[in-house]
Amino acid sequence: MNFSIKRVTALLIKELQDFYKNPNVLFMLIMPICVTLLYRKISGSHSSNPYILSLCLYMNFTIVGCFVIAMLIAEEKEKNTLRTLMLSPMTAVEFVVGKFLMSGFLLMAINLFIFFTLKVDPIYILPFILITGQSKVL
Amino acid sequence: MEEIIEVKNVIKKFKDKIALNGLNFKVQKGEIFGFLGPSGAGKTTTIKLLTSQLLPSSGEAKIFGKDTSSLDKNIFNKIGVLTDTSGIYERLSVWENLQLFAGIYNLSTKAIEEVLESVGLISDKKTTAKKLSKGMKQRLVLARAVLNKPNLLFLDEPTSSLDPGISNDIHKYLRLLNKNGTTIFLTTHNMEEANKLCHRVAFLNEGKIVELDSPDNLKLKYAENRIEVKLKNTKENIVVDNNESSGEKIKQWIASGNLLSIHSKEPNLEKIFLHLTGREL
Repeated sequence: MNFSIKRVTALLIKELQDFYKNPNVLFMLIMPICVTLLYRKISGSHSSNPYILSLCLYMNFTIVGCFVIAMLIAEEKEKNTLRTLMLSPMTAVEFVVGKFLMSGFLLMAINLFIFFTLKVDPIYILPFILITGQSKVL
Repeated sequence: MEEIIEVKNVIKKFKDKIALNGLNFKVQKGEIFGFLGPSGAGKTTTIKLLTSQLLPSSGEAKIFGKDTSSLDKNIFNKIGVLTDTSGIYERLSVWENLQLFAGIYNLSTKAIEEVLESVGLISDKKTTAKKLSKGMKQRLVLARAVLNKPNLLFLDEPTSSLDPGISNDIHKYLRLLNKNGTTIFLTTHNMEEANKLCHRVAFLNEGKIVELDSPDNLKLKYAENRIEVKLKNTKENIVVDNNESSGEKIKQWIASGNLLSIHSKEPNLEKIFLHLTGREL
């Protein structure tokens, strides 16, 4: 089994150059951000309430963690670029890992946004990153 | 001579429809091999079989001496593929499109510059791929296919729907690549292109190869063995058989200064194709 970090990195760089030009992905990223801001406004000083925090995280996880990766892969298939990648030395595993890392990166960025927007006590930052990061892997 | 592609008795069926029916051919190293046929003859299917995107129903297909049904991913380092469905990342620039593949093939940025230079896209390297014209897109796809300096290049109708100027540029570049040792497998239904580029051509019809030889040999084989001459005092061209008595006649015409032009009657590839298949292109 040959797995090359270089090829995964190449794919990841391409994703980073591409995602902010992709209106579909941007729309999906904005949804959990808007909902988080809305909840903060409604709940006022109770914004770090675990119920609200988990609500926002679940939403982010479903949309960014699950849907965006599916969207990224589907787009490659639709635009025939997946075929081109499969005719290069890149393996299917490398492809999926690259896509996974990209959506994981976006997921974590928005998770952190939620963490700070809902004013959770910053001492929990490390366990927060570990637990939410682990949820992506699972 | 080393054989790069070897196809033996390949049959490919899609449910009840037979796409390829007992295909046999070999491609030597350093050759430009033309694969000609009408739409739906199985040209693209053959490329898909050779690049292991499809598996043959029976028979065997080998590239670099390895069976295509069990190809190692590393072999794609030596292969370039251009198909009419090759996609590009439309939101990325020309440079970024190639950067991804340079990363995959583990090449330096210098390789990207070189290839952009040779397909004439270097001044557009920052242009978004979406904004490129059709000819430029095709050149970008070609640039990507040859980025890794492949030993074997598959081209599926590389110049269909391009203007003659760009086609000509692409032909020149393909010849240069071939000179540097790239074996090219070209499918097309443009007979003129095949005639200009290919060392050998195969005519494919209804899943079978009906003729395989160099364009010149084929033309001689199907020549009518007649000679067409144009004289000063006649309006229409005169066609005579290629034998001794007409030789005498032509000699007289030349002696009397009557002869304007003289051509041997050879069919072009298009006519040969129609003759072989009885089918329009």
